[in-house]
Amino acid sequence: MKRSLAAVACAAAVALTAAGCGSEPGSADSSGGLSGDPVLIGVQAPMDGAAAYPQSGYGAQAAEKYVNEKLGGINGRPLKIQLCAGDNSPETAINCANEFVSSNVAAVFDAYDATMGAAVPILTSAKIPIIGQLGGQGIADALPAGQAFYLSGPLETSALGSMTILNQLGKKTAALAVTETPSSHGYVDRLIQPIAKELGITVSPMYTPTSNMNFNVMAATELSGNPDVAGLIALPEDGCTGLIKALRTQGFTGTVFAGSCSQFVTDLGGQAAGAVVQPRLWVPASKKNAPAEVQTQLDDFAAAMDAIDRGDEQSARSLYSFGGMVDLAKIISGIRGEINPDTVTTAMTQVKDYQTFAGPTVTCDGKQWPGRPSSCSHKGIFFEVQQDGSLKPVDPNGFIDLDPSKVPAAA
Amino acid sequence: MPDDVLLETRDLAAGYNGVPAVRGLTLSVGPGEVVALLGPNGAGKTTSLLAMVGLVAPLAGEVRVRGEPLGRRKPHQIARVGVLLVPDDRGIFFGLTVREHLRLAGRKNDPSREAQVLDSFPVLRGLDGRKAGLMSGGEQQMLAIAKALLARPKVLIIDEMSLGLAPKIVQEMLPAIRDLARADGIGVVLVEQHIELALSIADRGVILNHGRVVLRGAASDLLRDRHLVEAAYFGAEEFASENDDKTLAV
Amino acid sequence: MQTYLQFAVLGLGLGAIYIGLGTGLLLVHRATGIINFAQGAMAMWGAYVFAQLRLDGTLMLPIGSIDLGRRPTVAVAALIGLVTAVLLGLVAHYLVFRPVRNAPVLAQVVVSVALMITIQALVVLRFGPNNIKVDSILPEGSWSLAGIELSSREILMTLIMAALSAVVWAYMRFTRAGVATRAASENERAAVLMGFSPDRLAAVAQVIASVLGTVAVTLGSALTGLNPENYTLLVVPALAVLLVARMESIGIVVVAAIVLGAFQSIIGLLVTKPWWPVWAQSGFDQIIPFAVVMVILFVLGRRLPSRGSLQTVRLPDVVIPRLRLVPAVVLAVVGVAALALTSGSYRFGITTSIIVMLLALSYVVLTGYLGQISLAQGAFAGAAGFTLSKVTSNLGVPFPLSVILCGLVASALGMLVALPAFRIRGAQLAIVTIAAALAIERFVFNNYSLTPPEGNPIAAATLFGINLSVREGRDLSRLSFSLMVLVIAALLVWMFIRLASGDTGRAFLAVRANERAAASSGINVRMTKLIGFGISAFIAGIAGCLIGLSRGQLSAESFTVFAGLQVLAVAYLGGITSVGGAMVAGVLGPLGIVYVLLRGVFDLGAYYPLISGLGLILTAILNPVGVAGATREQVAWVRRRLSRGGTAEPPPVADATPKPKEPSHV
Repeated sequence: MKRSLAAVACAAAVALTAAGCGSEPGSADSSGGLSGDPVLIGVQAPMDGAAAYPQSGYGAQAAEKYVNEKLGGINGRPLKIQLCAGDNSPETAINCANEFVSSNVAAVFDAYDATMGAAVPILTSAKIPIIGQLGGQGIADALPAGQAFYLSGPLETSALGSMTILNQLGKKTAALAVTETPSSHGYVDRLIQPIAKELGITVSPMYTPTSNMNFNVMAATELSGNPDVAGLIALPEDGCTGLIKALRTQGFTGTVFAGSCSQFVTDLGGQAAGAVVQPRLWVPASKKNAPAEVQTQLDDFAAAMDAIDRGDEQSARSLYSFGGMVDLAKIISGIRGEINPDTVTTAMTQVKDYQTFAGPTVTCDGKQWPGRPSSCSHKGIFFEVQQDGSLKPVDPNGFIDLDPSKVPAAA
Repeated sequence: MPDDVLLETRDLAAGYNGVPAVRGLTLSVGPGEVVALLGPNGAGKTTSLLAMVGLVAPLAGEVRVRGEPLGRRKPHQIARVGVLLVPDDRGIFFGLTVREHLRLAGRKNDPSREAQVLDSFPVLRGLDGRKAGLMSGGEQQMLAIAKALLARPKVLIIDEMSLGLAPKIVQEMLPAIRDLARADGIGVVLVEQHIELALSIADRGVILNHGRVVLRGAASDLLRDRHLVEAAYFGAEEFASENDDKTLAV
Repeated sequence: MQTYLQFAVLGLGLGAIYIGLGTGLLLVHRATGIINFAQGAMAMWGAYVFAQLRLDGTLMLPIGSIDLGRRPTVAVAALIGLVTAVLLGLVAHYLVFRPVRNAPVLAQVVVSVALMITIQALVVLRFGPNNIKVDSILPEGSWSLAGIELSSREILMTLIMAALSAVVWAYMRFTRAGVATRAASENERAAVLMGFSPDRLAAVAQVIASVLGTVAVTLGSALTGLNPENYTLLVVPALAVLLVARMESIGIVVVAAIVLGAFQSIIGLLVTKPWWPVWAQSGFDQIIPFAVVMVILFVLGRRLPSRGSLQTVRLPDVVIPRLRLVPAVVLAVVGVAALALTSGSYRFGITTSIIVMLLALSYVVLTGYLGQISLAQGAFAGAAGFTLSKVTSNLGVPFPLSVILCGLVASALGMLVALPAFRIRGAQLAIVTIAAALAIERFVFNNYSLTPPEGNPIAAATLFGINLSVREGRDLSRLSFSLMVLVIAALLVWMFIRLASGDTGRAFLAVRANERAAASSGINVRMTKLIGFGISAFIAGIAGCLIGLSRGQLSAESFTVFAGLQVLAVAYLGGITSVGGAMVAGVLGPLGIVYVLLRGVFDLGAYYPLISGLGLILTAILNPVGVAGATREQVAWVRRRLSRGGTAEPPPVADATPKPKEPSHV
């Protein structure tokens, strides 16, 4: 009996393993028919684990294909990304970083991975620059000049931006949910609260573990203090949607602040109207009200995502990765000669008044944000959800300047 | 006799970790018969019983019920075939009530059988809702046997019933068991330390020592020739051998 | 006040799940004596199948899937989910639990932990690691009670689960099978003698438990979405509920489950209050089940029912190790060569293997030698690692003093856990340790006050001017670091061998075999246990420090409950009773050399827990001495053959049937 048990189990293990070795979508050829030495860029994206945003990886994959097929690669050379899936654990980030170093990548793209901080010692030691759209951990974006470049600004941008817009809307009290991690505690205590205090807003944070989000409870907790604004600082997309739905179900008619979530707009329809979101770029839902060039860019983005069969994952995160990678590719296309970590770093430091993909114009001279030399911008953009589900910028100019002086001096 | 044999062991050897505690055991029980299996401590009586109901796998020989070898059947299957053992720990459940015991015992609801059994053990009638753990030793033993009888066994094996019981109670219970056995055609194997008591109601006796049968015969004969029984009990191991199975002739 | 009531009601969602899992645990324990750590994982499989069907009409099977074309109705999907639960219960019984019914408690605990890991890994592989939405079977709404709006879904859920529990209670009370199950749990042999197959009763119990759990999770997960990590670990509070009910009373299970769920929900509200201390904000709701478990076991420990089953299988034998010079030197040379001749991620893999070997060694000391079951070694390692971070960053303590100090901290923690071990053992100790590990992970490692957001950096070690850091520039795995790890490991192994072959080792083995007998031969059982836990935790602590040094950075994810269980799995797989086993465990362990090699071939990441889980189930059932033990047996067989020259006389045979074994002493 035991022998047959062993045989069954072995067969099961083999079968299960074999079944998983199927082809993954998007593994099709993305080199666009270009020849020549590929330019290898490492991409760290939080694809797995409890706080995963797989869209951030899809965006990078779409960008790879787009750059090669539509932009002629990088000076005729194909762009090749080495996508490493983070799972919210520093161990994996460290493994990814080790692999990037071993593979001799020219640069590493941070697709908004909260564990990037663990990779920092390895990458800085190997002098590989970290480039990203936005930083989510406060470690990489706090690096000294020339080691990291965040196009749309550091972590502080989100904090300053959210409080700025709430202040502009005249709100005084806010109950906001955020994922339960030590880094989010730091974010709230060191950035949100002091900035809010400066602006005269009382913020009640609500920490929730992402693996156990009971939306009814979360909404009830937020509403127990009768705040002007309820919503979130940062939650995964489905957490966003669930919480906002619960808030509306429990009768909240005030302003909902939804961080940089976008999926809830399509999921909740009319209930989403009036919510304020604060993404870093002109997200797809804002196309209707966006300037013409941005509309073209968003169309390109949609087509590129379709091309890798991820047409239904056009959320903010995928756009951040897509736009950031496209920008990176364009910037390093200007390099004459070898493309390696040193030349990439130099090219990045020389970026001046560059119009990013669906985003602000940026300058990466290290002086855009005091105390945060990695930041290339000090602008922010905010949208209000309309009845028809589109996003309309709160300020008709779109991007506005933020005032970094309100941020407590960087440690 | 062969047609009538309910339970029979042929050259049965059984033990633990490969070491036999009993060897060459051949005995049989027919309907309505009471066979007393006697012997001093460590003689191999309990092991023999465990082997008969499949709780110990035989090292050699076999056990047959109604001519069919038991083979590799599991103990619970052997119980269902109708060979029931009342073990030395009585085999009852302290947390369950008398009613629950009886409920478990009968395969189907059998009120007439239940009435019949309870007639033999009327004390149990008044203890219907009592938890077995709260009953006296005698009551527990009655419960143990009553529930076995309720299942209409073909063979009833009782291990050391008199242990911890006042002799008076045992003296009352044993005849009741014998009468029920005769009435239903059940074969009874009785393992006992108390020689007189056992042989007084048995038809035949088998005496084990050092793992072997050293003496067997009709109960009345054994009772009469007490000295042989004593010799069997106190016989040294060197003198017990394969061929020592003495049958007491009339 | 009314907010509190509302929150209490909201907590009934969890309460309903606890009712389902707790009743299932109780039933299975009654029927088999086994505490099924995999109850939560088993319950979530059926719920996942339901959720996926409602999402896109795909019927997900362990291997492959069936596309139904259209999304089925809620009723049909739920029915399919329940059928899945029935099948899972049967599979779990026949393939996993039945083979270990008469095995020692350690094997039973290990097998159910292995099943937990396996199912969770399979869920991640088939359904993905992220949250998935679950259709709500019950309608949303609220009821008014004295003017207070209470959420109706949660109340309905709880009523349904309480009713189902009542059905189980009636089963145990009034049906023949149920009464037989109770009888068998008290005296299995007597039940067998009455014609009942405890096996069949156990199968029924497993199926009922699986179905009950699946209903509970299907209903309850509509509130939060399903995700593999959370629902697998809900078994821990359910175990607390089980203990409160003294493992016998379904009524108390229902009440305790409701109270616990409501309480955890209210705590969730209280932690958001401004007056709640910051250091107690994260994970406080996990402290409660742990505290409950500790208190109950302390107070009631000895009087909790443990099942009298017919135990016929023994624990794996321990081979007293001897330090033999030649093999030791050979091993050392092989180690140095392996490190020197590789580089980059391969060297890193070998180095990690050495560290995992130390973690496995800590299990060998505690479980193999002392016979105590602890699922908390990961927490000890983590405690040392985090302490190292504080000690080097804030206090600037130099290496190697820092590592020794942190090892001692882990040791102290281990001895603290030894205290419950004085009064409880076996599966109950396993429950305490897993509850402790979960509480430590959520409340201590994840605690914002203790672990700053920059993370927990660990400064590189230097000794007499030699730079022992793990990386520099492009060199990802410096030889000096790896050699340092090798030296430390060799020291610890030497220390272990000295210990195991001496009086302390014998004392351990005596306590493992039979505590009472050990006590009556003059061994101080308490002191022995204390020493055992202390040493085991020390070794785990050193391993934790080395993990920290090898990464430069630590977080709560480094030392989760699951990480600890993974190491237990490979430790048992390699062989829980010997140093050789620990070495095999290191080679096979997570992020070790085999892992690195296979990762190059295909994306091993998600498959590793599945394979190690399956491997552990097999080992626990077939071969408790593990790979190392099996190898030893093979080697010994070969040696016998060679020395005898092939003319062995056949042993005297009187039997064609397998020999019955004498009852185990454990």
